[in-house]
Amino acid sequence: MRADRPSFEDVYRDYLGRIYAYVRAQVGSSADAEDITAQVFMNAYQAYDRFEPRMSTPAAWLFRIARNATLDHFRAHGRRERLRRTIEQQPVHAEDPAGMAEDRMQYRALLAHVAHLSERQRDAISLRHSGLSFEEVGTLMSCSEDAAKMLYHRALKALRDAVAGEARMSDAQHE
Amino acid sequence: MPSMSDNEDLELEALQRQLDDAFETTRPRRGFEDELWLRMQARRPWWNRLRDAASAFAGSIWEAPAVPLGVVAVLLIVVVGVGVLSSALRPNVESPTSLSEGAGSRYQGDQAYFGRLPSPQLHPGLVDHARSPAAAQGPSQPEFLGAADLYFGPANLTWAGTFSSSTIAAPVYRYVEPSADQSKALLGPLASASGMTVSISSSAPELPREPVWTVVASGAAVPSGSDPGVTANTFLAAHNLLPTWPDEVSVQAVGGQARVQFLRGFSLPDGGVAYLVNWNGERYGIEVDISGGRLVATGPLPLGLDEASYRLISNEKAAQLAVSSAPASSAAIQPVPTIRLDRVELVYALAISGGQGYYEPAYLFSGSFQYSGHTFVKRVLVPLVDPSLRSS
Repeated sequence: MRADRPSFEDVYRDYLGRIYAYVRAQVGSSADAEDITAQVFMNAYQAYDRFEPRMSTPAAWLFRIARNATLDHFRAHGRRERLRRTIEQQPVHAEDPAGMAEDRMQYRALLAHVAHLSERQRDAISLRHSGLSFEEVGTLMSCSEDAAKMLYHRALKALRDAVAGEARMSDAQHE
Repeated sequence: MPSMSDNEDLELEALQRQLDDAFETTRPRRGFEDELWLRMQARRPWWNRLRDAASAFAGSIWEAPAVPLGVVAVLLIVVVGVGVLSSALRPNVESPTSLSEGAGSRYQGDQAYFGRLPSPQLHPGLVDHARSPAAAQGPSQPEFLGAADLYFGPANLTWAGTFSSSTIAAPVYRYVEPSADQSKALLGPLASASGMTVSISSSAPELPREPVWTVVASGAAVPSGSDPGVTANTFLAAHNLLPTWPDEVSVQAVGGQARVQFLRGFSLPDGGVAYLVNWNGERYGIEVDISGGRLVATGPLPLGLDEASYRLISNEKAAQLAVSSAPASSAAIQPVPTIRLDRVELVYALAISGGQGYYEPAYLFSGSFQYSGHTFVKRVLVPLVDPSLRSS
């Protein structure tokens, strides 16, 4: 009996954008995000024969690969150094020289804040807003569903504080 | 009045919505999806491609129980063997187009990829409205029928021709729009030659037309001789303007006027040539008009071209698209004519976008019909690059 496995191209087309957004939120740089996303799908392509649809959804399977690739990236490059260079050389609003819509710029800024959270908080936010259930987030992060929920809500508050802190700094500079 | 807790909840909810929007709208740059798919295909081991092809073949006949397994095995061996031999003998040529092939399987691994391509198309609004001699002698003619008796309006189309080849292999070529200084440099000393007027025009995307040079010469600058073909050839050779691409020479002479055309072609992997057509579907290249000791020559700047392979649609799909295509013009003959498209030619057509021009393979279908006592021609251009790899 043939397994009910979608074609890899379908999986690729369906998930490329979401995986990219997840990685982008992790690394804060579109160039790095492209490199890592490419690596994710290269790895996934090679391993697709071993993907078992009855054991996992394509989303959970791909995000696991993406998470591992991102961690490898940080191990290889040094997260702090990478972030510092990213922020110094690529201010969030300078990536679109033609002037993107204001909300797009706000989203970029928001993702830059996500990239500054602790590793687990960053992961919880990124996985959850990439469309995964708390159960899937917990599985990927090796914790229970409830623990994933708590982690996510703490991350959300930390993110809110970071955004508010920047707003206060910006206001003080303008006064 | 909301409590502190209510306010916090509202803040967090707003933040969640922003995060949803941020993740939803953060996507890779345009073209990245196809570029990455290309790279992945290129890295696949050949035995995997072979296995997929065999699987697809087996799958297609799996539901025919009357086919003995032995026959299936023999067929598989033949198909795989032919495929291997074909690959070995033609390593740089695309495999035959087939609708059943998996997406991306026809990409050339290590070659450049230009991202999604603009679509070349015919532009009947740009037809020269001068009447053809034949049409001008006839009864009243609808104004939308331009030169060369072309009709671009609605029609009931059928396909009744044959393709010269069951396979299509034709790369896409790209040029990058040169700056004014680069254009001048490409013409060398001619750009500042005395006794002649030399001008350069940049690309005209609306036609479309690539960057062209135009030279006007008269008097001693025009080679003497009675054969316009020889005159044109001598003039172009003297100024290093002869085609650097495959060409076919066409000479038309009426009275003291002559037009010599060096029609531009593109080499195909199978050794053939496909000619470039303009917005009317007419071949073009370098044109030299000679009249009364005056010579006007115009031709494309000799730009360097990048080359890339794209997945192409099959002949069958192209024919389907030809008969179902929307008319290039709404100006219609009544009643709407029924036309049998019975000729097809592999051509190249230009499309320009973002400061780059793309010479893309296309099929030019054509068929003729009678209207008001005259024969008119219907042309349909079908770009061959897979629609999923085109931006428009």
